[in-house]
Amino acid sequence: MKFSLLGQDLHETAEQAKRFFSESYGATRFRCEEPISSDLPLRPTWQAKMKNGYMLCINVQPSPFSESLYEFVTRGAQKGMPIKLWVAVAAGAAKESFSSDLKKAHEAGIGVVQIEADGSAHECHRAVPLSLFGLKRTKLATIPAARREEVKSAEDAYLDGHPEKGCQAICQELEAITRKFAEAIYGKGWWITPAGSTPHRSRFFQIDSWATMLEEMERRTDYRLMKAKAPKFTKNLILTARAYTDWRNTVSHKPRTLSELQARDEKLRTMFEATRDSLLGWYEAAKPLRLL
Amino acid sequence: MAASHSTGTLATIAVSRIRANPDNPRLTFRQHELEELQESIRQYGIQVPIAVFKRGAHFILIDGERRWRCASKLNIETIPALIQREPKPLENLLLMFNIHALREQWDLMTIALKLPKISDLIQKETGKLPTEIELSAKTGLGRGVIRRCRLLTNLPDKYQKMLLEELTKPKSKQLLSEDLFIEMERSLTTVARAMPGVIDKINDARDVLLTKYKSKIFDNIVDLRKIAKIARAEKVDADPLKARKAIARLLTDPKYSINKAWDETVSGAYAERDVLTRIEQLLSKLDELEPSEVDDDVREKLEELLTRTQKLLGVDA
Repeated sequence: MKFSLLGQDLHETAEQAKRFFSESYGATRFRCEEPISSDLPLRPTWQAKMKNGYMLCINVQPSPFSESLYEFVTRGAQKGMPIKLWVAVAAGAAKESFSSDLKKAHEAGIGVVQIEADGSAHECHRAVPLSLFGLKRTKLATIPAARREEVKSAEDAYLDGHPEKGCQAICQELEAITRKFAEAIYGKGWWITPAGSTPHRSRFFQIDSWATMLEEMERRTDYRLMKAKAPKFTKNLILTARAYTDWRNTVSHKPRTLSELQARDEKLRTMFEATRDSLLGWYEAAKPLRLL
Repeated sequence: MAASHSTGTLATIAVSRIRANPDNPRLTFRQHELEELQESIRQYGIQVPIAVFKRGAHFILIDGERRWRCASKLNIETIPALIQREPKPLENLLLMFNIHALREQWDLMTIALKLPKISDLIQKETGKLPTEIELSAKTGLGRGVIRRCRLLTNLPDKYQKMLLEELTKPKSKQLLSEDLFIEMERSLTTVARAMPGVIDKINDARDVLLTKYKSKIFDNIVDLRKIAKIARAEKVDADPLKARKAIARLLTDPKYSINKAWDETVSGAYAERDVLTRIEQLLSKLDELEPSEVDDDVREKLEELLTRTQKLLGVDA
């Protein structure tokens, strides 16, 4: 390939990087030093298509981070572009600032791969799609210690390029806490049960339809009593949780085009953030009950 | 919007319409240099217009290839440019030299490769090949640089290619340098002149020396100068036959080191010449000295010199 912008000292690294992403990630349709769109301030050395629909951008440069890349990430994230940005650096040419550059790249969601002289590659860390990168990160300190691992795993899955898995995991966490919460307050007699109705069994709270259970909780909870027992609990918490039971299905189909992928990622980001925020509300509400 | 300028027209032109100048002797651009400029352009934009001339639908660069590359990389759509008239071929080449070679640190090989073309174009214009002085005046390069360039262009293609490939590597990975080849050529020229017939096949000799360097039999390119000194053994009254054998072995045996050959042949003779030269320099300084100028420090050192000399010669004080 004839490069017209890249310095000659990195041509070989660029060819090796292309081979690596083609063989290891199944990237196809490589284009060299072409603009992606007029408002993205960088022409990456390579752009290609990935199997999962994301656009792959690889910039070959001497160090893992530069301000130009950061600007590219910021603008791309603002526009929610479904791009995974990687930097390929030649191994052995590391500058003193390599570690701090690597950290900055990681924080900006830029993947970094070091290419050895023999063409072998070492992935320092993977890229986060720009469409997902704008996610408002979870402050782990606000999560009860017993649940931190689950929430962090969900967020990691999301940022690792599997937003649907991340959303699924965070929704499961929401479902688990609501079911536990509902069963606990039902057990304590804080539901208003009409005379003559059949009592609920554990199965109703643990296995049966989540939507039905939430609906029943919304209808039966003794909100006046709950105000005294768990002051942070509100009806609104149940309503937001109910919204996800419908929402989950709307993002489950596989996007076929780049714009569908962009739209799906935007929805998933909102979904993840809203679910996580709702979850935080449930954790707060559940504190007096010592469920966690 | 175009503005009149004494050396052209200042305008804003589309980056996509610009093409590199095929006569730009600079063949290698290193990425870290481009990155520094790119960062400056990202922050402050292009402050100095590039210079171009128009050819058909495109603009050919005269000055500003790095700015153009960086602007393209940053996906900048337009760039300020001074549009000049299309220069003649010789004028174009000389512009490149005078604009770039004197201002930037170019690889010598890239300059060297263009010098024969410049000589040819001057010959076409004036009817005779330019002298070294004329070439120096036209290109703005020092005569020493031109001589070094010629050593490189006189290398067989195989070695020129080897060097060019090396120059495309990152600095940290470059093993062979222009200086290595220049030192090697100078030494081999001296050997050929001082010891006719000792070099059987010059390319084999070059290969052996390069192998020695790559395998770190010697790692300081200045050591190559010792080969020339061994070849001139007669000048320091060392055994020329022994030196000839050592040179022959140096140029055929990839494991025989330059320092070993030096120690086995001429090191003593050169050390002796060095002592003599220094004594002569000292004596000439002493001639200039008046007794009234001898202060305590000088007196102390002269007495020490006297004592040591007497001891060395076995003379009683």
